[in-house]
Amino acid sequence: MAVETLEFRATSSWFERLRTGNPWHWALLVLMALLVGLPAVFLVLGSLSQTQVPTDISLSALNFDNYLDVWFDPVTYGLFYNTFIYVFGATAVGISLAATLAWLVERTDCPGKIWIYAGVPMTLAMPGMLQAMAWVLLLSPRIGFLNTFLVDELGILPGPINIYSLGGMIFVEGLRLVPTAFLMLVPLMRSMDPSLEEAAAMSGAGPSSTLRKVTMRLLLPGIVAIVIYQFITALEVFEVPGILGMPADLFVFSTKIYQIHHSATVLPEYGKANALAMIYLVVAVVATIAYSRVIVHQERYTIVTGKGYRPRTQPLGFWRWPAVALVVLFLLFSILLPLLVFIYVSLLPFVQAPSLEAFQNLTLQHYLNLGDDPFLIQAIWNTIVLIVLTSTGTVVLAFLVSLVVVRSKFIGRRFLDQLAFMPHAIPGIVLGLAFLWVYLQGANFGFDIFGSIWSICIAFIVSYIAYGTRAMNAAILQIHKDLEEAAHVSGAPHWRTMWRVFYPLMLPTFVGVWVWVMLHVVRSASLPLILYEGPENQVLAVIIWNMWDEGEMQAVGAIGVLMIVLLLLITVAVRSFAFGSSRHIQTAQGH
Amino acid sequence: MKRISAVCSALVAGMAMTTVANAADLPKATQTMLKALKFNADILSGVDEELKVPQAWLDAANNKEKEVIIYSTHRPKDWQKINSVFSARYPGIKVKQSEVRTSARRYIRPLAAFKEGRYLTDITIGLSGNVYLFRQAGAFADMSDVPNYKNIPDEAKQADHIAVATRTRYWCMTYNTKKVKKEELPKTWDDLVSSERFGNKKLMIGNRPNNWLLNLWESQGDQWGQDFTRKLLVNLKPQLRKEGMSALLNLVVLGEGDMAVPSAMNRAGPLVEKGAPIGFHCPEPVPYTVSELGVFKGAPHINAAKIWVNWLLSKEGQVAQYWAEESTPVHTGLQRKEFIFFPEAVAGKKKAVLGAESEKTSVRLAKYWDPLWLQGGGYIPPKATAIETKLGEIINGGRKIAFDVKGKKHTASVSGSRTKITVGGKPGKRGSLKAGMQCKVNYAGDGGEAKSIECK
Repeated sequence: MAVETLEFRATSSWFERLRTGNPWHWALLVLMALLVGLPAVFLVLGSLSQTQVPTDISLSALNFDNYLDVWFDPVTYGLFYNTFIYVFGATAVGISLAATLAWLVERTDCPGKIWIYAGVPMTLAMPGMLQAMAWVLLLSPRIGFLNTFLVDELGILPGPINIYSLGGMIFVEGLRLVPTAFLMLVPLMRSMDPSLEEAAAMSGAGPSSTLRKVTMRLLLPGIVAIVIYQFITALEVFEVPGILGMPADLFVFSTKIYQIHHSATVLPEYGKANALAMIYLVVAVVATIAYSRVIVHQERYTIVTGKGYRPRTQPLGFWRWPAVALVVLFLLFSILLPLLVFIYVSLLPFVQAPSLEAFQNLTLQHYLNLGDDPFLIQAIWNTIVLIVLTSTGTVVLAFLVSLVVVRSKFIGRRFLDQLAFMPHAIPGIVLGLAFLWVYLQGANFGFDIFGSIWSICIAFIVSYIAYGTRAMNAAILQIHKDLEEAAHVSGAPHWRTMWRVFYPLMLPTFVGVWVWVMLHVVRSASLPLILYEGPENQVLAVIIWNMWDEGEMQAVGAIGVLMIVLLLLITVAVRSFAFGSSRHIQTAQGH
Repeated sequence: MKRISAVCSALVAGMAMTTVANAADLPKATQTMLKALKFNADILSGVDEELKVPQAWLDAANNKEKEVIIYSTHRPKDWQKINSVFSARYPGIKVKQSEVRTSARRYIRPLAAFKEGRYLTDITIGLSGNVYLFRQAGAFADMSDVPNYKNIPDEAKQADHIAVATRTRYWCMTYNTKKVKKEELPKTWDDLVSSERFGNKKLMIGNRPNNWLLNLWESQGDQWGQDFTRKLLVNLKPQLRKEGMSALLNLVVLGEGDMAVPSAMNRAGPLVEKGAPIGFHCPEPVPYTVSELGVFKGAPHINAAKIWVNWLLSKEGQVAQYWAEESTPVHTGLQRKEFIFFPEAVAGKKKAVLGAESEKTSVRLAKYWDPLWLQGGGYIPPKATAIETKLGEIINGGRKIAFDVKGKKHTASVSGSRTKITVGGKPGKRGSLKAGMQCKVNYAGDGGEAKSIECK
């Protein structure tokens, strides 16, 4: 009898939650299912399809041949060893560097913080292929400018450093992973109440023990989210393994997918590429399930309570200057050296190694030639519009999704979280083709945004929602429910609670996500290349990609230099404004 | 003799007057183009006749359609040049061009849209062996009614008239002139893979076999194609490069590899003009490809599209295309050496041209090429060679040594930890190496690291 009652109660509770679920939770789930579900279904169907044109999906041409071809190919398994070393190595390098930098800027008195805030994310603005290419020019054993200088001129090194190696790939990809992890960690560290660490210290815990047992444990949800996110990024991204690995016969999993997309038959075998890419989706689903288990006791990670908190900085003392040296080295390797290479290349009549003759022939012609591009101004304007729409849209949607996932008892919240993470596991080209197909169909239903900036914007929001929700989930987890409940008890309606409680506390995360999306929108060409129609809808990334494909390295250098300088200024301005406001709010709270 | 000379002078003067008269008749943009190219107007002889099209096309294009949309691989700055000449001829037709460089943009988008009853473009240029996809979809119109279609050689047209070539390309190799001597260049493609000169990462290969190997494969047969591919990718151990073919040229200029395959003649030419240290070389047979265009059946601006195609296939359009991007014309009346950047690289050599079977050959090639490309064969370190020599120069305190090998100066780097040094039978250090010492140097080729140095 008791058992029956319990079962009945459980069913009743489940049914009750289903029935009484907030309508906007359901609306959000349906919206996400449409936005993410369609590309995911497209990926699955595509992996079974035998047609040459990927949008020609027909039930009669579906079978498992693609899976048999790619997963029974011994070459596929031969790639796992390199892939394992490369992905783990790059993730470890990227996250440990990011954590150190975030800790230095948020929790210590390290000097020059504004340069770290502004400089670290700048790596994101540089397309991966350009950064990898810059490293070829710097550290190729044959022509690397830096190698030549260190080995031949100074004689510091016994032999050239070889960037065409597994170590080289880990180093460059590791550097590329830093900014994303940094942007996710900064708000978490900023929001941490130092009184917890102080309490540990008062109880006799040493600094390393406090770091391990208090700081790291409180940051666990954030760190786990970042590790999962970056692991899949390293697994999926092809630019670095392509440019640095292939010339030395070092192949990883993403090389094989790239190879299929760029098969010698000219038209890619999308079905086989999709069948291989399914592993990303499997890893993503398993990882989000594991993550939801980590955060099952979410109250353990709440740091921001109603008692008010004030970030306290830890004096570095003697370690101040080694810390500065680390920051300078990071900025040098991740942004300054590649940028110097681009400045140099952009001033050359043709690409050549530094020499007296080369310096005598420097010219501004490539900068002046940019004015000849009839669509450049239009593309810059489109890019600005796209940045504002996409960044703002991603922040709003990610916040709403995370709010439901972390705060509500909505029955579909875990599925919603998985939906939000899935796009990160769907290759860009599949996402693009899926949206192309959707937009073509949309015209038949009165939803005709085909080829417009809006069409790119929606696809971008879907593409970046995974990052947005990882950052928001971790940040919301840290805010204690007491704060909302206190607002409700005081009679504040939902919107006022959002505006007066959540907005100020979440502002650093909002800004972090906004800046991250902005930097990705500027550099990413894969989606716009499939979705835009006509020169009037072109964006800057497409122009850069076209120039690169044409081998106009000097023009790419010129446009890249101007873009990075502009983005640096925007990032400094946005962060100064937002963190200024945030600090003001925190100070007021402290009082 | 004097009479003959006078007659000749009169003829030349008459021709010059005719030329001047013709030049004056040409639109200003065309004159500007000819002046920039330093061509006489007689190169466009008969152009007025060529540009005659049915009046109904002109009426519909000028009064109703008023524009034409084109997908092509031309860069915007190049397109501006082409369009300036066309617009001067046909001011009533506005041309909207989109630069399309990926297969998704060039083939999949327009085809997917066409199947949904939507037209993204009237004309697509740069079909790269994918005409069959459009044929299967019934997407392209018959172009045999375009007047200048007859000026294009048969081998540059599809038998069912749905696609026609607009320009030609010679896809061969570029080499760094500081690293490769002319006498070292392979005379045939077999020479390239049978010699060790370009082995061990000295050759850079882009993943575009369709641009060159497909032609060779088709002209030499499957057995040759498979042997060559295996020798190239497995025995020769080239650098497999992800970069595009034009970016690859920059790497040759820098010396990242001694040589790169494939390289397009019209892309290498401008770099040579700027003073870059590269040369262009074609072993025999010379891979010769064409770039085709197709007009969509039922396109919204079909008349304007046909007028544009007719113009591009005319002498004026072909010269305009050469002016914009150094593309060799396909027009039968313009097969002249002025349009070839490196005439000495191709003159008198047999061409490898694609035939009707190329679509099937392409599939066979890909099946063989793709797995070999992906496996790469694993990294094989350069072979170590031991030679007896007298040390010529000790650089940077022994970090590098220079010595003479059969009259050539070779260098080897000396590692403090990895290079085993003995002097007079006793272990030594880099600092103990002196110029003039007689040593046995075991090293990985010129510029490589020394494994051991045993000096007397």
